[in-house]
Amino acid sequence: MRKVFISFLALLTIFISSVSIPQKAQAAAPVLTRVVGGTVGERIIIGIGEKAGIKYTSKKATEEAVERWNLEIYKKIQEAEQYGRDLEAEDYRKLQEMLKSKKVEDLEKVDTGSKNNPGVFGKAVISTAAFLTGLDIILDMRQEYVDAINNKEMLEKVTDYQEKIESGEAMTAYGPYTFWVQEWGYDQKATLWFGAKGATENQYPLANYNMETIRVGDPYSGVILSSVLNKDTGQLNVKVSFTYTDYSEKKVYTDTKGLALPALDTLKYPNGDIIPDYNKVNFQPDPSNLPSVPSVPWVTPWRDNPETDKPILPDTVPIEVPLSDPDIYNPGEPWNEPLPEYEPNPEPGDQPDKDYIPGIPVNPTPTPGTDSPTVPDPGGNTNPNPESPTVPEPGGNTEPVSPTTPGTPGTPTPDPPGNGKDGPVKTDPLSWIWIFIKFLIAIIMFLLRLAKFIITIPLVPAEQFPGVYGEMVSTFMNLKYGNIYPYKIMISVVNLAFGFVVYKILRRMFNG
Amino acid sequence: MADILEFFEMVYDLFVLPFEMLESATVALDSFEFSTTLLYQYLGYMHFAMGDALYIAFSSVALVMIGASLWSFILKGIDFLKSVLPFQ
Repeated sequence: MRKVFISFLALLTIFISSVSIPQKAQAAAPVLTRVVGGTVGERIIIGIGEKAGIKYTSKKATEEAVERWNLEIYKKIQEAEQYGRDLEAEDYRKLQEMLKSKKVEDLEKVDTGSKNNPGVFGKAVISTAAFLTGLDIILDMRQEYVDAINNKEMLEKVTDYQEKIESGEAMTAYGPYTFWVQEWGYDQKATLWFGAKGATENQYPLANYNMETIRVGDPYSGVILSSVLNKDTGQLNVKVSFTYTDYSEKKVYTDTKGLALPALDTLKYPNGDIIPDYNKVNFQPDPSNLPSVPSVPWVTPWRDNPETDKPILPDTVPIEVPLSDPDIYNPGEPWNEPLPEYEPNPEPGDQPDKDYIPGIPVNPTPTPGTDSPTVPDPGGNTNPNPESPTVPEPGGNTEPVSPTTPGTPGTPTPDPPGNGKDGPVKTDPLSWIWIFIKFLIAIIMFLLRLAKFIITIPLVPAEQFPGVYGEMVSTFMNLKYGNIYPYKIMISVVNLAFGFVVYKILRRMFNG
Repeated sequence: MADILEFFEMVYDLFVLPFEMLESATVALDSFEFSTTLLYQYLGYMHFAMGDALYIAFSSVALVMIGASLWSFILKGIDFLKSVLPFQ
């Protein structure tokens, strides 16, 4: 019996192993269904194009449009999967599935009004039509252009940057300071000349700083690590990391140097020329230049008064309360007609109430009579008006009673349902049994789904590692030294080791 | 009086809370999807890193192991029931 069982598992293993599983990246094409000509999906695509103002006059153009749609969807799914946007890829896939599975009876022509008013559906499809007609590429380019401009402005405000100015020098912004660097070319003995002039921290007065001469090769390779203003001496302490090239030894050196820049009235080059005073780069917005907020009159001036910061509320609010209604005995159509599920059963006891919900009390209040021009008196007083002799009294025998209300036979509820005065919700023992049965069913279904999941573990599609780990793994998998692939060698060795372990296990099982 | 009310509330909760927990557990069980779990994701990562052949071999052996474990658990459960029963 045991050998039969093990043989069955081995055959099952061979069967599952023989199923070829495509990689997820390669599986987009077979998974993605294609919209083909002559189907409703093709008509939808053509309709979307016509919504965008494009009419396909030839069959070839229509076929190309459908083909373009399929290709674009395919490209978008691949792009989304490449960058880990699985939900977006799934959305595209579902859209394509939906388009493919549309039937003629699923469509209903909707009148969207005039041609100039495309309606909600028209607005929704225009973006899709843009994607169909290639307009989305232009829109994306424009958006990227706008984003690039915004990012550049943001970077100019919050980070260091460097740009050349008219004099041939480069101006570098670092924190609250602005440096300009003279361009010297690639001479190992060239002098990098830093001049610093800018706003100081903590509202200190403006000062000029002259950096001492350091010998570096490429002035643009210097990186300012930190700059601290000494408030006592007025010196600016700068820590610079720079790279220079020693052409005699053909080596590149990196060094860090801390410099103390004394405050000077004017900045000078080594030859004595005065460095002109360039305008400081505006890397921080000046709040004083911001336009003032326009004064807008208050919409509700009685709520808040900005001048006094005290709410102005009226002491009394006039409310007109009608003391008498001449039409009280002729109210017309009832406005608070109960919902159908709260209607009393006209034939109590003949058939079970299908609308009975366990745990929800049923209001046995009768429907206000639409035929009778009278209203029931909640106080139970007899109406003295002789013109309305058919006033029903609460608790009377003429009251229809809901047979589904447990424990309240013939007792009218004065409050309508859902007004918060019903008290604790009464529950039925049957509902607890039902809850328990549902729980058992949920457990059984969960176990079934678990078994299904365990069985399909070998069919789990491969998924690339997210982020930088994915790049590292891909790099390692594609690593190549000559004709040797280390990843394949490693996998082969692991395969052999795994096979050996399986062999040992099977042998031990068969030999007992 | 307040103590008595608290006692009755406690008794009421004793009967009601387990069923509320049952209801919430039912909803949680019904809405649980294995394809969205981290285990499914990590299996995909393993598939990507190990390659098709090794992953299929590995997962098949794991499947066999799981089945054998379940089989042994079932046998143990049957033995336990046999030992509990008063008659043989």
